[in-house]
Amino acid sequence: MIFHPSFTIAREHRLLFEKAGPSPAPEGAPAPELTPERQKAKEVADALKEKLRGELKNPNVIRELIALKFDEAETDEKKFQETYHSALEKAANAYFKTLEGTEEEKAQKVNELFQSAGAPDVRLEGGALQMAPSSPEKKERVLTPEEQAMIDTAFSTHPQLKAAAERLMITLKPGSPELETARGFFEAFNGKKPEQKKAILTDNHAFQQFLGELPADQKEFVSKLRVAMQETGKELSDEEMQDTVEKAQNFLKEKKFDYATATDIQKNLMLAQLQMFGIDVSGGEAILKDPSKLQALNGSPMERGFNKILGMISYILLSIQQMKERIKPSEKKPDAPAGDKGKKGPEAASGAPGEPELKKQVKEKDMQQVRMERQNEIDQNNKLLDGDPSAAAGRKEKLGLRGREVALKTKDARLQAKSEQLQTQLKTINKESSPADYAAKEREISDNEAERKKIAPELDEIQKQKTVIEARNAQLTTEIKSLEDIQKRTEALRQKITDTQIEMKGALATPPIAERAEAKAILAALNGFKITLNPAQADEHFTVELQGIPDSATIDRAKFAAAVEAVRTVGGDSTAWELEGERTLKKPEAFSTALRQTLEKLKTKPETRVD
Amino acid sequence: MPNPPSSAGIPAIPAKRTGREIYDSIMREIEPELLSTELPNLDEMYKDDTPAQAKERAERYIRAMEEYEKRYAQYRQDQEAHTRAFKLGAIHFVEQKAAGDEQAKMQSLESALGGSL
Repeated sequence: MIFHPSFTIAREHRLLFEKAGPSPAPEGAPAPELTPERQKAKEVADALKEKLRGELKNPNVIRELIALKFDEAETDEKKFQETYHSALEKAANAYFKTLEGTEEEKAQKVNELFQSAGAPDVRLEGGALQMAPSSPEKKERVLTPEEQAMIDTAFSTHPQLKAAAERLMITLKPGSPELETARGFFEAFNGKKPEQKKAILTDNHAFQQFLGELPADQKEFVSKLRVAMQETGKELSDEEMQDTVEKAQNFLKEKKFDYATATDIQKNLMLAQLQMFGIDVSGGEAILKDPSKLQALNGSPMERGFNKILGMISYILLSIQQMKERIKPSEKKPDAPAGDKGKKGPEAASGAPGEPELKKQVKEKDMQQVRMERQNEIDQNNKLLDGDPSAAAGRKEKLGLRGREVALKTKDARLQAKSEQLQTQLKTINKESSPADYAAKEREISDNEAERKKIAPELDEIQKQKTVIEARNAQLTTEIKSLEDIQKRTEALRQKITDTQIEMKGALATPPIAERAEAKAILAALNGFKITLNPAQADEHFTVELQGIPDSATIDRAKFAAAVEAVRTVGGDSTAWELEGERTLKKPEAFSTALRQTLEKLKTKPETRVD
Repeated sequence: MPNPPSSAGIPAIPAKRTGREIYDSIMREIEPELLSTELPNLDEMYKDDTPAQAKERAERYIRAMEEYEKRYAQYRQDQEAHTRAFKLGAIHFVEQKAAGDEQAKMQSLESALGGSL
């Protein structure tokens, strides 16, 4: 939604400060771009809605649709919680850096501060602070032997369904109606004969028939079970996770990786390789220090795949960076541990992807040399073709092949013209009456032709030489162009690597300065807006007008809300932000003043403190 | 919805909600029949529906789901805004804390110097 200069809350029918409950999206709001995952979920939902038109009598359709919505909300909530968690972790680390004392003392101070604020526990791991999970998952209980037996009996032939049932059952509170429903379902299912149970699990018709026999609450339990089974299928099993960890640990052993002597780039390369194995590397170097802490990344197949791709990209970029440092020792500090200088670069980079391109880079200086040699040869050839104007008479050929060719052709043409003229004259002379004159003309023609014959081979030779040299020049020009292209591509690649490194550095580290940059961007977008409060307005208790924003400015409401949240968090008169009822600011004037002041405060704040 | 600062000034992480809770909080205002708690009762409630009534109800549910989708998109957008604000709040908090520490240190140094002069 675009903020027009006269944007008002009343017009939008949406409050900036709501205490609870989401409000509908404004009419005409542009549809946000969907990720492939969301697009797929939307397609499934649309298909189910379509199905619902025809199958209302089948309650499973609406249940499936709702289960899909639970799933979507659950996944998003998980991501939001991770973001909150990571923001606190970064803040803790930023504060940690400003403190003095031993690492343990600093960690203790951070811990006290954060714990007093109710934030999760902070641990010092590998020189960086990490937090315990901020919002633990809902307490899961252990299955009773009776429940376990019930599940085993029901799904012993279907391990995936068994795992899903276990997962679902541990979330049900003892004594709850949901647990009673689940028990009812298992009793009904286990009451069937083994061949009937097998049919229900494998044949859709038998399954539908069985479903028809169940009461509504048990049908809902079946829907949940199906969702849980899909979820279980997506994630790695314990065995698969253990297998991933073992493979990664073996790899570390094979590579004889020594944390104590490894350089930073070697450590990062190893982390990238572990990430390619499917290891969760969010713990950073701590997992290299103590490989027993290695853990496989759990998550959806897409998340796991993305993790591996990230690892591969990091590996390629780090390999390139490492190689660049190796081949340019004079320009960059070699990547070798103290006391290890003079040794060759780290072995981890050998055979790295991208190395052929690097080998080209190694030859970059040669390419420049070759290009110059080719150009010199062209210059020399051009002198042969066009002559050397600087040549001293008698020492060098002033006239080049092209000049000589033109001169000889001109001479030949002149001789030919002369011969033709003499031939014409000869026809007018009477051989009998003027034999001497006739003979003289004949001799002159003969001499001309003799001269032309003498010129012909020389002209032929010059033309041959000229053709060879011109062909060589064309070849040399093509080679130079290719070399230029390679150099341009190399330069572009280098630039891309640098850009990607910067981008990745930002993405991986997200230094606090980035947060400030975000704040600045928001504030820059809002810079110059004027707030007018109109408490007297009848239908809405106040109106916020943004003035001074050009019509072309596109500032979405989320950004505005973020800016308001940012300034609210910074401080000022906190009572100004309180709402009286749902829609009235307690102190509209104070709100206006506080907003302006805090925006100014943010704008002028030094941004280097937390770096 | 905004993350109120905790007593020490650090924004508190909002309590985690389950997918079902989020769904119900939105759907409650749209179509109470589609609340997760009501689903098991639907079959009984509408067992005598005629085909025409059933069709009308299906359309109503579809409209409700579409409205839910709109509101959920807005909800997610709001949550994203809150996470951004939270990030800023957290970093500003430690900035202020660090600045406060520094100032206290300077004051203590100044008073120590003042005492020795």
